[in-house]
Amino acid sequence: MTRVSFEKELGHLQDEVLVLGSMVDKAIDRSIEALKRRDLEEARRIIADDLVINRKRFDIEEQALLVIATQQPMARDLRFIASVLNIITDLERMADHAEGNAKITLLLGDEPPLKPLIDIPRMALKTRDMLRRALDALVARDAEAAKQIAHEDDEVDALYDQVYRELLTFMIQDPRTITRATYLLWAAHNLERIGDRVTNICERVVFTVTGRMEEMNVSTY
Amino acid sequence: MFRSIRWRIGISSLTLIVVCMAILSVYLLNYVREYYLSNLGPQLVAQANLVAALAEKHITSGGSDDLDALVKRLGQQTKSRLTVIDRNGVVLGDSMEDPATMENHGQRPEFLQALSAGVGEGSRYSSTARLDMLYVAVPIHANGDVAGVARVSLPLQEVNESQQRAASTIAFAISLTGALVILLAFLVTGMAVRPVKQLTQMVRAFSAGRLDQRIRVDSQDEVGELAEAFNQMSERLEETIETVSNERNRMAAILSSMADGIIIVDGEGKVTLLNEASQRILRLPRQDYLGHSLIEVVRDHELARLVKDSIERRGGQEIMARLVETGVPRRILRAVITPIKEGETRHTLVVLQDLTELRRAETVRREFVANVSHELRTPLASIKALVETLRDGALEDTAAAKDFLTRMETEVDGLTQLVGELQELSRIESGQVALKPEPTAVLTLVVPATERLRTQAERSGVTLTCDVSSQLPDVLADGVRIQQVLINLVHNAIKFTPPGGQVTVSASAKDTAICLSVADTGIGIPSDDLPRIFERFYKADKSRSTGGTGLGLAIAKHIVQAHGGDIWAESLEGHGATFIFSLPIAAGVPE
Repeated sequence: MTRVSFEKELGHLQDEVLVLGSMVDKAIDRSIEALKRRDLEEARRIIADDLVINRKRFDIEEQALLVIATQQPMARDLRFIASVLNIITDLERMADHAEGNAKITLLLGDEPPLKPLIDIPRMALKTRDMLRRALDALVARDAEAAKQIAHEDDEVDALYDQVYRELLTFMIQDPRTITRATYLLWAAHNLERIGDRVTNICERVVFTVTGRMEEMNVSTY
Repeated sequence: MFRSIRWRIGISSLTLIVVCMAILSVYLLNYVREYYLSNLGPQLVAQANLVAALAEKHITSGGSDDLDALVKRLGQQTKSRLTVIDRNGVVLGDSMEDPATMENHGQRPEFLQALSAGVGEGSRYSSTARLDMLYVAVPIHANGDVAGVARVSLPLQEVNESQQRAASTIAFAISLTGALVILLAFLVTGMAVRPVKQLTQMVRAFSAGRLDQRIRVDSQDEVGELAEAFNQMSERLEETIETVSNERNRMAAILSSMADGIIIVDGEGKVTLLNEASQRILRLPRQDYLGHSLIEVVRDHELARLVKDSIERRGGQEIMARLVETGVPRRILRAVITPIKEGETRHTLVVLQDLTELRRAETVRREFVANVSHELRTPLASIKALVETLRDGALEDTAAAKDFLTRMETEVDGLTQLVGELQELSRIESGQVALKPEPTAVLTLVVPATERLRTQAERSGVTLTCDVSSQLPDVLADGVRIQQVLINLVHNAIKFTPPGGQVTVSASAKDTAICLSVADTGIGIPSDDLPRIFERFYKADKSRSTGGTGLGLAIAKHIVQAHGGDIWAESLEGHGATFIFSLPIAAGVPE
C-alpha cells in the first residue's frame, strides 16, 4: 500500500516537473515571438507570468521535500528527487532568461527593427527542442539520450557565435545600431544560457540513472 | 482414471450386483442345507426309533454281543451308521466300530438332548469316521424307563457336495453377471460420455479462439440436448463476437483515419486512448502512450490543466473548446474537451484540431491585402504627386509637363499590369482559367519564349542559350500558358544576371515527366528566401526594387500546378539560381 502510494507520489512529482517544463518552454517560445513581432503587450504578460512559474517551482520543491520526509526514499528514487530539486531550479532560471528576453522587447520598444530575426528564433527552437528531449530522457530514465542532448548544446553555441559576429558587423558599420544590436546580443545570450541549463538537466538525468555526477558540456561562454 | 464417469458408474453397478448376489447366495446355500437336513431329519428319526424298538429287548435281556451283531446287521441294511448306547453313555453296539474300543458317549450333545428332550440332533466332525456327520438320537424305553439311546448318523458329504455345487453355480453366475454389467456399463456410459468428451474438446478449442467448432449430435438424450444447446450457444457467441469485433475494427478504422486527434483520459488523468491523428498533430514518436499521464504524453500544461479542470468538475457536462499553442516548432491547436460518462467511470474526451495551416493561410491573406494596398498606393502616390506638381505650375513648362505625363503613363501602365496580373492570378487560383493541355513538343514551347527575350538579353549583355533536345517526348501542356511561365522565368533570370552572365534553358526527361530548367549565373537567392519566393508579392531583395509586380512567380506556380506539375528553385547565394518545373509526358508517347 505504502509502496503503491509512494510510486504514485513519485509519478505525480514527475508530472509536476513536466508541467513546469511546459510552462518554461512556452515562456521561451512566447518571449522570442514577442521579440520578433515587437509585441509589447505580450512581453508584459510574459513578465507577469514569470511569477506563476516561480510559485510553481516553490510548490514542487515543497512536494519533493514532503516526499523525502514522509517516504524516506532510497537509492535511485532519492537521486531522482534530488535531481528534481535541481532541475526545477534550472527550469526556473530558464524562465528568468525568457523573462529577460521579454524585457529586452520592452527596451527595444518602437525602435525600427535592425534586421529580420533569423538566427535568434533558430536558437530558441533548438534550445526548446533540447529541453523537450531532456525531459523525455528524464521520464524514460535514459542516460544515453541525455548525454547526446548535452552535446547538442554546441549547436546553440555555434548559433550564438554567428549572431554575435553578425551583430558586431552591424555595430562596426553603423554606430547608431549599437544600442539595438546590444539588446539583441543580450537576447541571444539569454538563449545561450538556456541551452546551458538544459545541459544541467541532462547531467541530473545521468545522475538519476547512474548515480555519477558528470560535467557534460563545458560552455565556452 | 477412476474419477471418470465411466468407471464410477461401472464400479458402482458392479458393486451393487455383487452385493445383491452375495446376499442371495448366502441365503440360497443355507436354504439348500436346511432343505436337505429337514428332509433327512424325520427319516433318520424313524430309523432311530426302529433301531430303538429292536434294541429294547436286547438291552433288557442284557445280551450285549447280540446287540452289537444286530446293530451291525441293521447298519448294513440301512447304509447308515447305527450306534446303541446305554443310559450311562457306554457304547453297547456300533455298526462300524468295535464298541469295546469306543470311548464313553455320555457327553455327546445329541445323547444328552435325546435323554432330556426325546430326540437329539447334531452335526459335527466325527473322529471315528473322520467326516462331517449328522447325528439323530432317540431314547430306548424299557419297562417305562429309559434304558439307553439309539443313534443314527449319516455323513453330511452329500449335503456338502450339493451345497458346493450350488455355490459354484452361483459364483459362476455372479462373475458372468459382473462381467456383463461392466461391459454394459462401459458401453452405455461410453455412449453417454462421448458427446461430453467432444463437448469438452470443443469448449477448449473455443476458449483457444477457434470459434467455428461444432459438435456432431448423434444422441437424442440429455447429453445430446446439451450438445445441441452448446452448438446454438457457440453459434450465437461467434455471431456476437464477430459483431463486436467488426464494431471494434470499424471504430479503430474510424479513429485511425480521422483527421482530428482523439485522446481519452480516465479519472486518474491517465491516457486510455490516443489515435494516430493525435500522434501526428502532437508530433509524438510512435510508442505506447496508454496508461501514461496526459502531461507526460502531450507535454503541454495548458491542455493538461483544461483536462484536469474537466475531471475535477465532476458532474459537469459542459464542453470546453480552447486554442492551445504547443510544440516545437509551435503549432496552433483547437482542443475540445468533453466529459463522458460510461456507467460509473468518468472519462474525458479530448478532440484536437490542427489549425496551424489555417492560421498560416489567414496570415498569408492578411499580408496579401496589406501588400496589394501597398503596391497600389506607391504608384498612386507618385501619380498624385505628379498631378499636384502639374497643377502647381509645371503644366506651363511644356518639356517638363511631357516628361511628367510619360512618367504618369508608366505608373498607370504598372498599375494596369498589376491589376491585370492580380485578376489573372485570382482566376487561375480559383480554377476559372480553362487550360487546354494537349501533346506538345518541348521545343515548340521553349523556342518562341527564348526568341521573344533574345533582344532583351542582348541588350543586357547576357548570353541566352537554349539546350533542348528534339528527341524528348511530347508533354501535355497548354502552349500559351507554359510559354508565359518560361518567359517569366527567363525574364527574371536576365533581370538578376549582371552583364557577361549566362542564362541557359534546358530540358530533361525524368520518369513520367519532363523537367524544364532556367539557370542563370546571377546574384542568386538567399536560402532563407527560397521556400517563399513563390508567394505573392514576395521579393527576396526588398531594398533594391527591380520593378515587376511580385506576382510573376506566383502565377507561374499556379499554372504549373494546374498542369499537374511542380515548380521549385535551387540556388547558392552569389552563384546564380536555377528554376525548375516539371510537366507530365503526354500519355502513349513514352514508348
